[in-house]
Amino acid sequence: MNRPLWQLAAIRIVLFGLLAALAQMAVVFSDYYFNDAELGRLLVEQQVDALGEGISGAAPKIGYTLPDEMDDLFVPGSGYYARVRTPDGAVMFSACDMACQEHFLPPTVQPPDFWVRTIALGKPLHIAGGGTATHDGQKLLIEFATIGDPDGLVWGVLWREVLDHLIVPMSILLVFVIGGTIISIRSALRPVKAAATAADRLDPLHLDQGLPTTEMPEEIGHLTRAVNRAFLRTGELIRSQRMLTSAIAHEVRTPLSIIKLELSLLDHPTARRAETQVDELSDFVAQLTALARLEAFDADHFVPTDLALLGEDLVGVVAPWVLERGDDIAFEDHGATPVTIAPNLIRDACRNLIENAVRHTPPGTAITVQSGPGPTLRVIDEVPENANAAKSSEGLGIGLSIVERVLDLHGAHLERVQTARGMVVTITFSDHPRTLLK
Amino acid sequence: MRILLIEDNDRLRDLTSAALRTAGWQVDAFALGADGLEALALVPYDAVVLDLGLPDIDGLDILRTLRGRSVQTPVLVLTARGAVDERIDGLDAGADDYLTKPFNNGELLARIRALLRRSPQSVMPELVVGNVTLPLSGETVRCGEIAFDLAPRERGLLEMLMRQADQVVSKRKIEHAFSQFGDERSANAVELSVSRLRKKLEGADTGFLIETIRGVGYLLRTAK
Repeated sequence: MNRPLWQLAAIRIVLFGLLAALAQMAVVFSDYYFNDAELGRLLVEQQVDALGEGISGAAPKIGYTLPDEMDDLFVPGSGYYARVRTPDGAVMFSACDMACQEHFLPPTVQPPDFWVRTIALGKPLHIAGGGTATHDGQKLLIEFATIGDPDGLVWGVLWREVLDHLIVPMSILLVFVIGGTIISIRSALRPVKAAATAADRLDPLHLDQGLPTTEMPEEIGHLTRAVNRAFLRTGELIRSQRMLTSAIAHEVRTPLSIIKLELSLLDHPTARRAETQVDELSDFVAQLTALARLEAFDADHFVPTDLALLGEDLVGVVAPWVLERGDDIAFEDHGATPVTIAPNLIRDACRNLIENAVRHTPPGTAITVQSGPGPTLRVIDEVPENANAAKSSEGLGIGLSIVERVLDLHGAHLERVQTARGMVVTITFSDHPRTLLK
Repeated sequence: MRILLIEDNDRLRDLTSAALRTAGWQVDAFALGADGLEALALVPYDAVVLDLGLPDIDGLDILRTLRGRSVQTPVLVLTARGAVDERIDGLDAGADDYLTKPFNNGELLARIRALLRRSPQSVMPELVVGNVTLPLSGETVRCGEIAFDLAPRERGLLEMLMRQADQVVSKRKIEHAFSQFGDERSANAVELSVSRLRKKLEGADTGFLIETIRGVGYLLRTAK
């Protein structure tokens, strides 16, 4: 299934965003992981901030309790040490033995805002440091040291860096980039969608109407204009073919008349057979002309029409020919509703169906044209009881092309049902003829 | 009867003229529209057979000129175009009927006879279809030696059908004609009259049949 372009673009942006994030992550990781001094500084900074959460109370009675989540960290022998004291040396919290005290600043030293000291180079980290925190105007010195970072706190530092400097800003960026892209694509493709709808409704015989090109992105506008030029060339080709067909059909009519009149002067069975063949050729020429005529069709020809009157009139016109062929024809109205159609074309189409019914059935066939119920026209043929009902649904030839083209212009539907004694052909009209939707 | 034929194709003009002459009519035939118009100004023709595709003047313009001169002569248009809209254009321009090429003798003569029968200008003393003669003066309708005793409504109905022989006359049109005679029971009256007319013509060699086209009307169909 084809996905909409905006979805494809969004998926690709996310995919490339993830790749960029991975690359960025590798850069960040190498930047920090192989820079022990910076990594140590960040670890101290993070732990000083975390230890600072335990300061409580108000000056001058400020107290300190180690945050619960750090209880397990600063136990003897854990490899982690912490101390909180005032600038004048009063210790408020200490998880530090005598050995560690030598890593911290002496109590008499006025604390700087932040300090770090590498105890031993390389990994795992051996580091000590501290920073000041101010609570209710009271300054406190918070110190942290680790010998070997046994719990791997450094990974937390790295994760925090990735989160703060990569995941959060990239996520925000992605949301805006994807949103902006989707809006841009959808707004750029709106005229393309309109062009696609217009293309669906394009009448193959009026291709010169083309597709709309206004407000399109330049590249798609260029493609649409190229498609329109191709349509024009195709339209001209179809028109010239139809003109040729029409001209041939027109020019051949007079010679056919002469042949028919010449043949009528000959009193010979061969002449009668030739007359039949000329009649068939004449029918074919008439069909070609009818097909060519459809090209000149205009939506203005659609008018509200009473199907009952149309059916009755048509039966009146074809009845002499049908009876001459030995068949019978009748008209019935079953409550047809008014429809908006091109009556001449529908008359042509129904006439084709009637002629087909006559030509492909044995003499004595009863043909009934029904209008209604609803927006329908039916041509029903019923062969005599003792005759062979086998009648192919094929054989309409060019007539079928005319019927299909006419019904297509009307957005009408044709249904053919073989019955025990013949065929029922039903035309159901749409409430919205296709041509009127343009 | 004198008929004017305007057709530019020499062979078709000769064949058509011959067919019309064989039917017993006098024929003046021209290849150009201008010659035909000149002849029309001089001779009171009973009917005109006009080809639309002439080399000098469009057939439709000839028709319009003719009707513009208030000439009511019935005109049968011959068209090689055949499109419904073009036929309508022809009828709008004043044609009385059209015949699409290719046609045969029988069709051409039947159409001209129908035109002559229908024409309000017709100077025919009687209508003749098949073997039946209907004098327009009101005398008895005859088929050879047989005289039919027809009621006025039956005679009116037969006249309508004979004037449009081989074409369907809608029941609505007959009902309308009957109601003009003040008959309010026209729907049943038409069927009754047709039934009585058929019965009266029964047995006679009329040369035609009155067919019912169910849901539409009636067709006086001549034997081919």
